[in-house]
Amino acid sequence: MPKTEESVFLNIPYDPQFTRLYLAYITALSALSLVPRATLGITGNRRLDRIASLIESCTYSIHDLSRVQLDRNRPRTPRFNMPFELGMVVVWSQANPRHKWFVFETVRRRLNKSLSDLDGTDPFIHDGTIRGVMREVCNAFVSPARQPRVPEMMRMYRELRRTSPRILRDAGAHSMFTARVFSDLCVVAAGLRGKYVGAK
Amino acid sequence: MRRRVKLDFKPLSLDETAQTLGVPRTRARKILAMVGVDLDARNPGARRGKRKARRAQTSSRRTKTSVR
Repeated sequence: MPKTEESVFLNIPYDPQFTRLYLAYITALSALSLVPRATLGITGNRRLDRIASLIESCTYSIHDLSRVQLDRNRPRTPRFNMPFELGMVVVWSQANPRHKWFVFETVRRRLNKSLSDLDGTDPFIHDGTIRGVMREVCNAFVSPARQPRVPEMMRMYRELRRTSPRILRDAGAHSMFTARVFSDLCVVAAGLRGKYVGAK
Repeated sequence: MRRRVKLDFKPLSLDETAQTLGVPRTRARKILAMVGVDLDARNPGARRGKRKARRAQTSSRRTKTSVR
């Protein structure tokens, strides 16, 4: 996988309840001219190798550790993929200090309880809101061009959300969390950057 | 500690973004048309690499004009 300066490994929960924040992350990163990458579509017994290669191809990573609850399906379990992938990134970044990682959470001080090994790392608290995600992504990154404003990102978000049913229909998908829908959403969000960021 | 990272790169063009994401050009053009964005439109501050192609286009246009 070719390494690109602009790629951000997006480590988030893939569930329908997270759809709004999923679109918010895609929008906010695209507004900053970054390219979101995710493990969507990576399956099979070589999955771990491919996740590692995806992490290595990215310069930054965002880890949303807000999904700490048990899921609804029996047997009810918490999701360990996100903290596990964060662990992979932490090890990778120790050997490659250029890789920068950020932890995002919904609830203040919960991370100290759920993952106390990260004590001393302040997470970005987005309060579980779309605006919160945009605000905190802008707190983590400073744009190479003009820093986008949250109202501009909100306009991008609304148009991306309006377009998403057509993207789903064209892809013949029922879920937003598929590889093709994800990449299509990212392309559309990148297009919307030129339309809204910096526009009067 | 909370760190703020200053991004230091020239933003990719839409075409390059689609390539990075593995989206074929035709599909990228189609999905961007849904939001009224042209894949080949120049983004302010985006990397430019099509000077040669643009020059060729202009010169062919000029040739056509001279024929008329």
